[in-house]
Amino acid sequence: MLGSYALAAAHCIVTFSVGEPYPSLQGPMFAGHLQQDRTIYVPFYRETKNIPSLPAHDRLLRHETLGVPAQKDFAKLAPRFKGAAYQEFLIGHSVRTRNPRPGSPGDFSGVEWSAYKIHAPLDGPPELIGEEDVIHD
Amino acid sequence: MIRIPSLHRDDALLLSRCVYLGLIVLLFPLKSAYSVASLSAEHFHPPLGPFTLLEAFPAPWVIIVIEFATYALLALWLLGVGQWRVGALLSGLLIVASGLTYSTGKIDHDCIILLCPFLLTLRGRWPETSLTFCLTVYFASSGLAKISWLSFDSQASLSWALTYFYGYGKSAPLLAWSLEQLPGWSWELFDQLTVWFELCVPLVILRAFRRWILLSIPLFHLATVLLLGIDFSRLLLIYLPLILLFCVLPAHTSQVIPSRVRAILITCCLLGLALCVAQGCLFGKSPQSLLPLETPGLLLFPILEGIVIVGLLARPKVLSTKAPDPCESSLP
Repeated sequence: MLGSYALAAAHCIVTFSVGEPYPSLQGPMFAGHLQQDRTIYVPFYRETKNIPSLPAHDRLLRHETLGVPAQKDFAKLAPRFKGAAYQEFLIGHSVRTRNPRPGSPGDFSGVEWSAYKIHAPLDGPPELIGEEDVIHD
Repeated sequence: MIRIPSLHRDDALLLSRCVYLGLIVLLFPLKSAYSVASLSAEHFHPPLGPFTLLEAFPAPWVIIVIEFATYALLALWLLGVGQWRVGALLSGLLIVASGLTYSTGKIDHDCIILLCPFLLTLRGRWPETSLTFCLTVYFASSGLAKISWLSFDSQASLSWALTYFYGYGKSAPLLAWSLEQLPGWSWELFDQLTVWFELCVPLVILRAFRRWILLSIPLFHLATVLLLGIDFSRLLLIYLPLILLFCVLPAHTSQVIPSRVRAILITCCLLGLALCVAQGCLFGKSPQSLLPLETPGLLLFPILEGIVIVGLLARPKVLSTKAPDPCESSLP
């Protein structure tokens, strides 16, 4: 049993420190959100250019390949949100869409980022307030 | 009183291989790297490991060779040919194919599933021991990765639910309802329960906790499917062989599956496998499941819970007593 915990800890340390293409954000990514006090932001993007569609199976690919550079440049993209706690929403997980388009993984041409702003009190259900662009693309 | 016949180890291993292959054919087809092989090098973001030595995806013909070899090895593995050597080679090729599939930046959760063919070819009680160990590492690792969820300042599961609902447009059965009705503290409770449950799964190694952990796992997955639409039903590729191996009691039990039934089972599985290969060869399709269930977990996890309950009722001591050492195992 102790071996299980030891191996799991080693796996996490290796994965989150030197592992995946998301060097420092891998761990917080599991929280999957960007929360500031009782406000939760759910980033998303809009297509701004008419670029030919990718095949359906590339929906996830689009989401991930855009996500990698987005995560590396997170500090530039969302300067208001500093520190790991605010990086808990990873941009890579916001770009899924029903109508995926190819995008250059080096920049974000053809994509306009924004975020839904949601009030999330402890004593009540969450409430969608509106939209606020927290991503500086 | 429910009576379940004791399985000979060879019976359990044969059924485990049939279940594994049957689930792949029916519900969880192998993921093909062919569709990503034509991508340019700028899309190549391999995970840590040997794939970082590559600079781009290999040529499509390399993927085709790997996938055909995988299917051939699956057939040999099902027949019990070559034992651990075939198992190791098969798991190796599955890992290579999966590694390429996930070299676009996506994280995979499949390692334990890919190791299963090899672990099932080990001798003695090593299949169930090693599968259990891998499963505990899998859960503990997942729990440790979510350690920040324990903070009361934020509700990670709520944020995920909001992301799924608004960002991805998901429609899990209880997702919309829960976002309308559940207060923030209940999402905090869900955060805490998730992390502590995942961290507690390694306790399954201790016999005192085993039955409670086994009863909880399908319920945990079911709650996740209902609330967030996250379906980990592919883990049945591990759970069902493990349950079958827990039925191996006692060591001197003779084989209960007649040779004719064994032959029918193997033939059915091979036909299913051939159908999978034919899909790719004749129609150029990526592997498709034969049963088009959109969210298999909604059906399969309640069934799994039922199987665990029936098993515990039939063999109340099976999980609390130490199984005798098995006879030398020989694959059919």
